[in-house]
This record gives sequence, C-alpha cells and structure tokens, in this order.
Amino acid sequence: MREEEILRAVAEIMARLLERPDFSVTMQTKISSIAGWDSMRQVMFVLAIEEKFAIRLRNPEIGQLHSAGDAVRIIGARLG
Amino acid sequence: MSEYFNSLLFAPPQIAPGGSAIKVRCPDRLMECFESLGDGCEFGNAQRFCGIEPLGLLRFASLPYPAFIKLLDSRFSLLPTGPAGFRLLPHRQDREWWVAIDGCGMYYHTGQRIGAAGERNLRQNEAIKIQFLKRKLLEELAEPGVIFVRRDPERSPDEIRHAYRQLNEYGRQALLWISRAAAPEMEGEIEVLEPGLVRGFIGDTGQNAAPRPAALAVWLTLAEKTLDVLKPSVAAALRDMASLRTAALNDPVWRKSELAVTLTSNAVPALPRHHHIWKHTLRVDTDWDRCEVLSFGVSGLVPEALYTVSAHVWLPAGFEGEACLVFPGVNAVKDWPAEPSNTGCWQRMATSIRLPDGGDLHFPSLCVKGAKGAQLYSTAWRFDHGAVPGDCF
Repeated sequence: MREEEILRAVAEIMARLLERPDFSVTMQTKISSIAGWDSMRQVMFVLAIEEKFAIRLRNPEIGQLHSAGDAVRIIGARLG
Repeated sequence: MSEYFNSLLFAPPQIAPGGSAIKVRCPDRLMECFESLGDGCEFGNAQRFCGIEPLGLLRFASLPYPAFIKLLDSRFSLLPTGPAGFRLLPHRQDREWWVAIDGCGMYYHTGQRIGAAGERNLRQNEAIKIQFLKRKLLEELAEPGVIFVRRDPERSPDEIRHAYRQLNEYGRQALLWISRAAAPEMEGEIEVLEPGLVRGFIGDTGQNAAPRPAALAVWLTLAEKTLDVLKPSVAAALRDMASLRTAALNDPVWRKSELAVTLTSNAVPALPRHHHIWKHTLRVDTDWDRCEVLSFGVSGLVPEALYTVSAHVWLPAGFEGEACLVFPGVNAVKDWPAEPSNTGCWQRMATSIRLPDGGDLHFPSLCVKGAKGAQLYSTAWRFDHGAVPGDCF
C-alpha cells in the first residue's frame, strides 16, 4: 500500500472520529494540536487503525502516534 | 512593520508576569519512562504538564491499596467488559463524569464534560477504552520496559514489597513507590528497597491536586533519580539528549547548552538590543516528533489562558532543514512558522497556545525538521500573555 493511500485512510479515520468530514489532514498534522482530540479518541484511533489495516499495534508504536505522519509511517512499516 | 511587531522586535526576552522558569532536563522524555499505577492523578498530571499524554489504565484512577492488590491478583479480570459495569458519577465541581467500577473499588476521570455526551454512549465508550487500556497494561507487564510508579503514601515497606511481588508475577518489573516524606529534607530523596524497587518521598500528596510547580519539581527529581538507579542506560541516553536542550533556572533568558546550543555574537548580525544569539546545531536527523533542540519550562501560568511564544530565527544560506517553528507542546491555537527558504535574514516565528484546564506550566521548544549538522540561530525569545495578532506577520 502506498503512503498516499495510507494517509488517505488515516485521514478518513481521523475525520470520522472528530465527526468533521471536512477535516483536513497532512503528514504534519499533530494530534496534540487537534481541538477535541482526547484520550478516548486516541484509543478509538488505535482501534480503528487496527481494524482497517488488520494489524495489532504494539505498545511502543501506540506511544509513538503523535501525528498523522507517525501513523502512516508505523502502518507502512507493519504492512511491509 | 506593525507597531506590535516592533514591540516584539525591540522588547527584551521575557516571560509572563508571575511566571518563573524552573530547571528541567528533557522532562517529556523523562516522564515517558514511567507509567502510573495510581493512586490518584498527581503523576498523570505531572506527565501532562511535561507535555506528554500517555494512555494508561490507572493514570487518572483512584485505586486504594487493597483494591490494587485484588486487581493484580485477578490479573485484571475484575474489570467489566460491558457498559453495565461502569457507573457514572457526576462530579459537579469539575462538571465532569467520573466512573466507578464497583467490582474492583476503582473510580477514575473520564475527561468527559457532563452534558457533552449521552450516558449510554459514554458507558459504551468507557467499556471499549478500559478493555483497550487493560490489554495495553497487561502487555507492558509481560514485557517490562517502563518503570511503574505508584503513589500510596502511607504504606509500610512490607506492604510495598508485597505489591512488588504481586507485580513480579507478571514479569520482572521496575517500580517507584511514592511515600510521604516524614521531614522536609526527605522530599525528593529515594531509597532502594530491593533490586528493581525504589521508594521515593514527596511531601505534598494531596489527592487529585494539580501539581504546583514545587511539587512538579519534586516529581521530576524523583523520576531522574529513579531512572538513574533502575535504568542507568536509559538515564545516560537521556542525559545525552538533554545536551540538545537548554534549561533555565530562575531566569527567563534562555541559557547556553554545552553542545547543541552556543552563544554567538558575530556569525550573524544582532538585532538592536538583542545581543544574545543562540546557535543551534542539529546533532541528529530530526523528524516532527523528535526535533526539539531547545526547551524550557515556564511555571506560574494561568490555567486555560492563552499565551504566545515567539522568537526570531536566522536560517543561514544553504540551510539544510525543511521546517522551523516554535513547538507548542500541547493545545496549539495557531502557529507562524519560519519560512525555510527565507535564508540570510531574521524572521519572526510564534505559536499561540491555550493551557489545559488546571495547567500552570508549559514547555515550549524550538522545533526544527532537518538533517544532522544543520545550523540556525535564534534570538529575542518571548513568552507573552494573549495571542499574536493576525496582522503581525
């Protein structure tokens, strides 16, 4: 899966969790800068990634999810 | 150039009235090495004020000692799997839903405002969240890496050792147990009870209290000392990382860091009244989340208030970096990054932030994305009340 495809999927997940279909996401989008992104959304984000990409994130990977770019990088690495 | 921009340009570096800088050394990286096992929120809040938000089952939980032991014994099977096991408690003072799990004597903050979400949805979400956090904690216990920390001030050494033995049923653990300091001079001290088990002492163990700067400083001290004892290699790596940053001690002016940040006076022209120019060298390739080259802590701020951190930056011709900005840590409202292609001149960058509820401390950083060896300069750092007006840039 190409990086752009992963980013698009990650962006869709983030927009759905925020209930903001028009939410714009780039590789640089920092999770800590997103208004309304709380621990509940972070948990849902992890679970949604796991479901979408059929992977199980390890704890160090979960701890590194600080931006959309992180998610893309981690997913990309797991998908090989 | 606007009047406001002029005031930024010519004012000396300063912090907000009432604020004071405290000594820190990579506080976020330091606090990332720990995970709270309760009791209470103080350590979780200390992590928050260091700019990190790790997910943790017991980070904001109240779990008295007997219930803690019982939960460990049960291998966390006492935690409910469905929404019915979560009893919502309205905390009127904080206007927040708390959750009680009656079967295991635990209650915790949800972070959800009363009225913001339906109670049914909230219970369902909490069931999902708790199951996920349970999974995460069990994995951490099975593959020890973090140092667990539990604040339970009145327990005897025997009780502490018993809890540690219970933890070790899952795998070899490292544990910092926080007890009450019997005398002021004990505060911030640690003692090794046995290999892997450290007892630390803190004076103010107020339940659910947001850490005051003094208490936060004690937490950081305890964390540093414990890391030195239990994870010396990690502590050494952290010290190396700390050399990439500068820390301030009762001084709003950014200080010289031995390796990565040096004071220079003639490589680039100084701005009027700003003779302190910091030279920054990226010692490693940096990416967005590992790119702070400078950080300091400002305390005594007003929770939920708006602040703006700003500085001038000089990117030399041939600058090998993709981005440069004031890294907000958390809750960025707006940022004005430097333009990487705009080299050979001073340019102002700023980031406005809103402190979290209860937060009176912030750790802004200079954040650069670039290759190892890239150099840049900064000066005229300010920490101000309010937002930067949009027409300033």
